[in-house]
Amino acid sequence: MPGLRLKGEVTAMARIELRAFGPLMKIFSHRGWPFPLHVEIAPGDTPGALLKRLEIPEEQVEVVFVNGRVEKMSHLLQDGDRVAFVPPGIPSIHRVMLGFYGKKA
Amino acid sequence: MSKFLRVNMTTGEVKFEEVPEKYLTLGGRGLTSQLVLEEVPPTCDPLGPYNKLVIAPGLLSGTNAPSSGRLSVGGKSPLTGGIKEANAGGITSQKLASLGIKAIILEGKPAGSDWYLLKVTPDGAELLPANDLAGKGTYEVTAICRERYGQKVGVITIGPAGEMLMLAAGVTNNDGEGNSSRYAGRGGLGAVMGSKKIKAIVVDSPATFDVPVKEPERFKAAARKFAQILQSHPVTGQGLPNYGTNVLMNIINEAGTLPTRNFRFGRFDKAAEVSGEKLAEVAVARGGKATHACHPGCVMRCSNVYPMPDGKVCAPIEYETAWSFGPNLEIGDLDVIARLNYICNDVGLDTIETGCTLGVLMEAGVIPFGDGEAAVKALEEVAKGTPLGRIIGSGSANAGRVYGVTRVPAVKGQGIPAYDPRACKGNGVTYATTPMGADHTAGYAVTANILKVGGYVDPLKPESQVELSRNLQIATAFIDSTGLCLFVAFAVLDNPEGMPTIVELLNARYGLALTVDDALNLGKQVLKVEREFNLKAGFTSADDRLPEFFSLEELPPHNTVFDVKEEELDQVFNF
Repeated sequence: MPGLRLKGEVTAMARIELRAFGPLMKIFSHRGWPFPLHVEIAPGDTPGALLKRLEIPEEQVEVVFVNGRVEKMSHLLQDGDRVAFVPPGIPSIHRVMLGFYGKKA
Repeated sequence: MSKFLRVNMTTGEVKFEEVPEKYLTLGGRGLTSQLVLEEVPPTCDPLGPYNKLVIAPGLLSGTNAPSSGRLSVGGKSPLTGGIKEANAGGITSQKLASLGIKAIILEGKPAGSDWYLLKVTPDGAELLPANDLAGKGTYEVTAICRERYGQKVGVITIGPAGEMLMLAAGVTNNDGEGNSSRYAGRGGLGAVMGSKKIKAIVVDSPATFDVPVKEPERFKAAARKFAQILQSHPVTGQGLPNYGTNVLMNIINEAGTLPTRNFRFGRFDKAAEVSGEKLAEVAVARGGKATHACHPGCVMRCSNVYPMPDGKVCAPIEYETAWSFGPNLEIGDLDVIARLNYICNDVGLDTIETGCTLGVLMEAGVIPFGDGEAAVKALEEVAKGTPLGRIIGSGSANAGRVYGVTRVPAVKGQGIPAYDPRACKGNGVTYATTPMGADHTAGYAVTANILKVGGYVDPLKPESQVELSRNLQIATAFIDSTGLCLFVAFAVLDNPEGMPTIVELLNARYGLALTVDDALNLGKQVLKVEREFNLKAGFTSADDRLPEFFSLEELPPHNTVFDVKEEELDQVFNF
């Protein structure tokens, strides 16, 4: 898969660290990906672009965390970012408190 | 006809009373808090004869509205010194409602040392001697009562911690399988029940969903619509049924707001080991269940059944418990968490408070951080009533005083749960200001349109957090009065038809003409009542503050402190 490098391979490219939770974790295990997965990024890459490239179905993702904050899918990724996809249906007040609402675009 | 069951433990009198009209549209938390304000002197000793324990099903409990079987337990809290409503699942709420009982009011205090059991059946209620149950854990008491009075009875009980009047003791009742694990845990109400010398309340009702409904067809249509709303929302239709509340572990860790090592860090490197995903995997592999309903008719089924290595079953392990015994203590082993959880259920302690207390003991160096076996050994002291056991049972604030620890995560004497207020500041506002003492469910219900917060509030910044917390607390107080599980909130409030459907259920059940605004006013009224009790009990704005270390020590990874201004905190109840 283009843009995908497993941990430990030598590369000079910018990379992010990717996690996913709930049912999305099964995608990692089915595809034999390590957890977290290190993914190369190109300039201008966003979480939305990453989803497409990694063939993770968009409808299975509600929000994305970048470095511990909920960000838009159009957020520009940087080298070394910690990225995590969150599935729909996470309970609790944190849907609001952490900004699941109003940060989806 | 709905009635109050009033039990005077000073005289031994047990009587049914007609419910005065002014209480007819109150239920659950709305009713327990109103009765506590009107009948309990706010300055009384919480463990003395003037305090009362009020147990009330919600307004919709006993109907077939989905997920409506929650039970409210209220009184003056011996832990906080303020008003308390603790909320539980389990099978008893629906049984009480089906018997036409709007509330059980336990009052007075017997002179002797004998223990009693209150038996409630369709034929009436009576106090029976229960010295044979004294000293026993809640699992055994529940098993004995089911053996004695029938396998389908609901058993409300306390463990040895409640008998010994420990301030972190909870009141439990059982699920459909007889696990005595559905706790009205917070605030030490188990000690209030213990002070009345009531070991157990057995509720025997042949019916679960058969309360009289004023307009049955209208109710049926609304209940069906409500079920559809729940099943079509991702939280109530997918998220909770798949992994339960502990799906939050990885998420809160990712957000950097998972209190770790007694609130020193916001992430735990072994969070995944104690997560909901891991729990589901282990539970299923051992023949348990990743999903389970805490009361009949719940469509969310967010509970679980976790078989432990010793053959016993811990059902459920909730997120807040997994946090309190996991990251909070730097323990990354679900089996240890399950064991601590089970011991708490059996001895009768609130798991959140107990986890906070063990964190304080670890902070003090009494037991090492991360040492699960030492934590288990310490917790086993509670049932023995040793000095260490009594300190553990007395809550985090008291343990901090005894051991000279100032990093104590507590507000109004009650331990702060599973979300660090420095990286999720709206929660900090709720912890500081709720009349309940630090409580994760006090401000739980949400929505952009009902809340009118209009979009995104940065969790790391102080702006708009007060308004957010206020609106959340109001909506929560309303839902807690209906008997609906708080988890319906997301489905209800994200769907424009949600709140109107709950109001429609209430109107059809009672023949009322409430509006959505009336419902939110009920939420406001509940908070005002609770606040009034606390003011009369001597609380001031100084009690609406977080511990100092949250404003002094930065929390990694976001390196933020709690910085919502004090004068802003004082504006939460300005309605």
